[in-house]
Amino acid sequence: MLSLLILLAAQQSGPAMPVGVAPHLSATSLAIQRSLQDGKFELAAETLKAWPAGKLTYKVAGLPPTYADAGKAAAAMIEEASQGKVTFAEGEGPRVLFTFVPMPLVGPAEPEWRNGRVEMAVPITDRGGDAAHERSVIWSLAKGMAYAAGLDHTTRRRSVMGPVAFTKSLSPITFSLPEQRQFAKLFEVYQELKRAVEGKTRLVPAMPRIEVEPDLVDMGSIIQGDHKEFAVTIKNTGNAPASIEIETTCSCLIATPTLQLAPGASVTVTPRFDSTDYQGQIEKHLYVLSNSLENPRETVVLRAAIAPEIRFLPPPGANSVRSVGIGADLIEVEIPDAGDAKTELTFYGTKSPVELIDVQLGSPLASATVVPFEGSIDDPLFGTAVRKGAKVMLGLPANWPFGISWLRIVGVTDSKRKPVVEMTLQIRKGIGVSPQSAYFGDARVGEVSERVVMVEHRSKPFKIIKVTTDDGLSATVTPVGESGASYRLVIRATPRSVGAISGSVQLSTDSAAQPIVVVPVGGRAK
Amino acid sequence: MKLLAWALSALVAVFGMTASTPEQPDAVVIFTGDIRGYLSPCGCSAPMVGGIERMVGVVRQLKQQPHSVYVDVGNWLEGYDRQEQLKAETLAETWRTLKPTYLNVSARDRLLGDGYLESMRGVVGGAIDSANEQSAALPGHSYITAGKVSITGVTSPEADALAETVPGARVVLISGSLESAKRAARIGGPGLYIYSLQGDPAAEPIVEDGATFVTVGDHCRFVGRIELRDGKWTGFKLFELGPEYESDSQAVEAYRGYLRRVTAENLLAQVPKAKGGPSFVGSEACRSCHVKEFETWEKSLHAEAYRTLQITGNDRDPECVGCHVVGLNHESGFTPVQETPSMASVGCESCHGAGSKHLADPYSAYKSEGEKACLTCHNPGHSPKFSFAEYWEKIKH
Repeated sequence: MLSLLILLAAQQSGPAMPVGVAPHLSATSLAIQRSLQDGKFELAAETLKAWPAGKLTYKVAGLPPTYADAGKAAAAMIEEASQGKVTFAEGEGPRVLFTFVPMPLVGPAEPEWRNGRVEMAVPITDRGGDAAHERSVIWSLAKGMAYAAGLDHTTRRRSVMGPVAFTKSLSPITFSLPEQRQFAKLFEVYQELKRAVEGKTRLVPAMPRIEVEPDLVDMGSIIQGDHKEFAVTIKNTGNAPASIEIETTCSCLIATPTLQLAPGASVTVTPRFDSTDYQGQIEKHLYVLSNSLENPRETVVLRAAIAPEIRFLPPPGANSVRSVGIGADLIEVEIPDAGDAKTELTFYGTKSPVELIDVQLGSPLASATVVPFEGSIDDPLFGTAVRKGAKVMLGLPANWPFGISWLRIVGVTDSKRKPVVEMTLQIRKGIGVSPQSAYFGDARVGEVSERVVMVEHRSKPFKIIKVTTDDGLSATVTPVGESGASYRLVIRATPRSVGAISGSVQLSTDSAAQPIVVVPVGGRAK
Repeated sequence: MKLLAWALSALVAVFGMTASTPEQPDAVVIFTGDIRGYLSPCGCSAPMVGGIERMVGVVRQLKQQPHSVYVDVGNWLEGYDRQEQLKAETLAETWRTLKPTYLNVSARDRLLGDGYLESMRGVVGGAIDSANEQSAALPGHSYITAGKVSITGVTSPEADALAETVPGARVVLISGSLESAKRAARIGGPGLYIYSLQGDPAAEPIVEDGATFVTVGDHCRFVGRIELRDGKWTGFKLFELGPEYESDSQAVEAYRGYLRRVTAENLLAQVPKAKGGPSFVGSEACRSCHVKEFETWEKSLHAEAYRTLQITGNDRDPECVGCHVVGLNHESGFTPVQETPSMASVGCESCHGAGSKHLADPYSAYKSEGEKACLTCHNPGHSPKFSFAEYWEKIKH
C-alpha cells in the first residue's frame, strides 16, 4: 500500500487543457494520459499521432469553381493564428471533409467529429461569386479546420468559432486574440504530452470534473420589469483545477464570466435575469464551459412566466371580454348602435399601489376621466383582493364609427419601471365587416380571384336587401347560421389589366342605423 | 444549367452524408410558430435574423422533400389593431403559396374574430384549424391525416382530441408552453409535440416517455424540421434565418403589398400622441451651444437611423419609425418627415428627453438616464449584442 502511494506521489500530473476545447481533442488527451498512467507508452505514442499538430489535410466535395481558392485562404488563416504550429493543405486521408450544399442546409451546420475526422457541410447560395458570401465560405472553412485543430465552437459572436454570420460585410475575418492563445495553449499541451511519451513518464490525468446544479431553474411567475437572481452551484469533483467560463444566449442574462475552481471546491454563482422585455412564458439558456475532459459543456435552462406589473381590467359584466394569457392587453366591448356610450376600466398595480396620473386616448372623439378607487378588485389572473387603483370612465360619442375599431389607451403612471402603460380597447358597434376590406394580394389578369368577408352584428339580426358592386367585381351573400345576424360575403375580382385593383361592394340593409355598408376592395393584379 | 447540376449533386452529397439510412423518411415535418407579428427582422445588430421572406424561402425548399408537411403552431400576432390585421392578411397571402397542411389557431389568433379566420381560410385554402378553439369559421377537426402522420392543433391540453386514437404517428401543435405540451403528452401519449416559446429554441429535442418536444422560439427567426423514421422522430434541425437564405420572391411581393397598405392607410398618422409636459424641439436646436456634441452625433449611425428605414421602405411603418425618430408618441414630436425634418433619426432628445424646458432655461437639470435611455430601443430582442460600455464608445460626447 505504502509503495503504491509512493509510486502515485512520484507520478506527475498531466497537462491541464484550456476551456473551449473540441470534444474530440479532449477525448484524445484523456486517452493519451490514461495510457501513460497505465504505462502503455506505445499506445500513448500511437494515440499522440492523432493530435492535430503540424501538417494536416482537408478535402472538399461539391465546391463550385467560384470558391476554388477559399480553402487556401482558410488554411492561411490557421497557419497565421497558430504561428505555423498547425498547417492545412488539400490532400487524401483528410482530417477535415467539407461538403458544399445548396441552401437550405439539411444536416450539421457546425463541424462534427465523425469517422475519425471532422465533417462539415458548408451552405452555398445561388449567388455564386458574391464577395461577401465568399467571405462567409472562407469563414466556415476556417472554422472547420480550427475545430479539427481542437478549438470548440462557441455561441460568442465576433469570433471565428462563433456562429458564421452571412452578412454583406467584406471586412477581413481573423481569429480573435483568445482564439490565437488557444492554438498556443493546445500546442503547449501537445509538447508536454510528447515529452512524457518520449520520456516514458507516467502521468496522472488532469481531470477536473464539473457538476452543475440545478440544470433547470423555474422562477415561476415574476412581475415584468423585475430583475431576478437565481443560484447555480458549480462543483469541481475532479482531481485538477477547473477553469470555467459562463456563456448565455441572451443579453437579458448576466453572469460571472470566468471562474477558477480547485479540486473539491464549489462555488455558487448568481446569474441575474432582466425580465423587462418579456411577457408570458420564456425560456433562456446558460452554458457552463470548462476544461473538463469529460463534460466540457453543461447547460442550465431558465424558465419563467412573466406577468405585467400593471393591469387594466374590463368593466364588470362587459358584453364581450377577451383576455388571453398573462400578457393580456386587449379588452373587447360592444357599444349601442345609437347614442352616446360609456364604459369603465379598472386600473391597478399588481405588486404595489401605482397611481394613474393621466390617461391619453388614441382618438380625439373619446374622452376619459380618472377616479381614484380603493376596494375589492376581481382579477382573473391575480384573484380577488382589496386593492388601491383607479377607475377610468370612458365616453364614446354617438358618432363613433360603426364596425370594429380600436381605441389605444395610454396610461401615465408614477411607477418608475412602467411610467407608461398601453392597452387597446376593441370596440364593436353595429354591423361590422371583417376583414375591413377585401384584399387581392396577387390576382392575375383575366382570372377570377375570390375573397371572403363576414358581415355581422354581435347581438341584433338584420337583413341584406341588395348587393351592388363596382366594375370588375361581383359578390354573393349567404346567411351563416340561424341568428340572422351573420352573413358570408364572397367577393370576386376579375382584373382586366396589370396594376392596382380598386373599388368597393355596397350592401343595402334594413338597419335604420346603417342602411348602407361599404366593403372596400383593393390589391394588385399581375 | 451547370449550377443546377452542381446543386443536384450537392444535394445528393449532403443527403448521403447526413442520413443514417439511404431510404426516404416516412414523414418530414417542417414547422414555424410564434411569428408574433415579426414579418420582417427588426433591430440594429448585424446580421439581422428572421422575416417571412426568408422563412417562406426555406420552407418552400424544404417542402421539396418527399412526404413533407408544413405546419405552424400559432401566435401569429402580438398586438391588436389595424396593423395586426394587415399582418394577418399578409401571412395568409404568403402561406397560400406554401400549401400548408395545418395552421393552428391560438387563443390570441382567435381574437381576430370569425370573419378574419373565415377569410384567411379562404385565402390559404383551408389548413387553418383548431381542435379545441371554438369558432364558427373553423372546421374543428380532431386531427388531419397527411401520409403517415395525424396532426392535431390545440391551444391547451384540455382538448378531447388528444385522447382520440389516430392513424399513423401523432403530431400535436400546441400554442402553449412546454409544460402545457407535457401535460398534453400525458393524454396523447407518444408523438411529436411542437410547442410555443418566447425566447430561444433548444438546439435538441426534449424526449420524455416516448414523446418528442420541439419548438422554433419566437419572432420568426427559425424554421424547424424533423423527420419520422421507423416510428422515431429524428434528424431535428433548426434553420436560423440569417442573410445567407434567399428571400422568396412571392413573399417579398406580399410584404411589399403590406407596406403599401400601411402607407395607404396612413397608420403612422394614427399613432396616439401624448399631450402636455415638456415639448420636443429637435436636434438642430441643440447645435448652437453643443457644437462638438452635435458633430459627434452627426457622424454617428444614430443620425442615419431614419434613412435606413427609407432604404428598406419601412419609413411609414409606425412599428419601425418609433425607434428611428424623436418623440413619435408626443404631439410635439415626429410627424411626417417633411414637416419635422429635425425630428427624423435618433436625435439628442431620444436619450435626453424632450428639451423645451432646457431650451428655455439652459441651467435647468437636463441629462440622460444613461443605459436605461438606450434600452428602450436597444432591447434584447432588437439589439442582442448591446453592451452599454461598447456602444457608448461609438457615440461618446
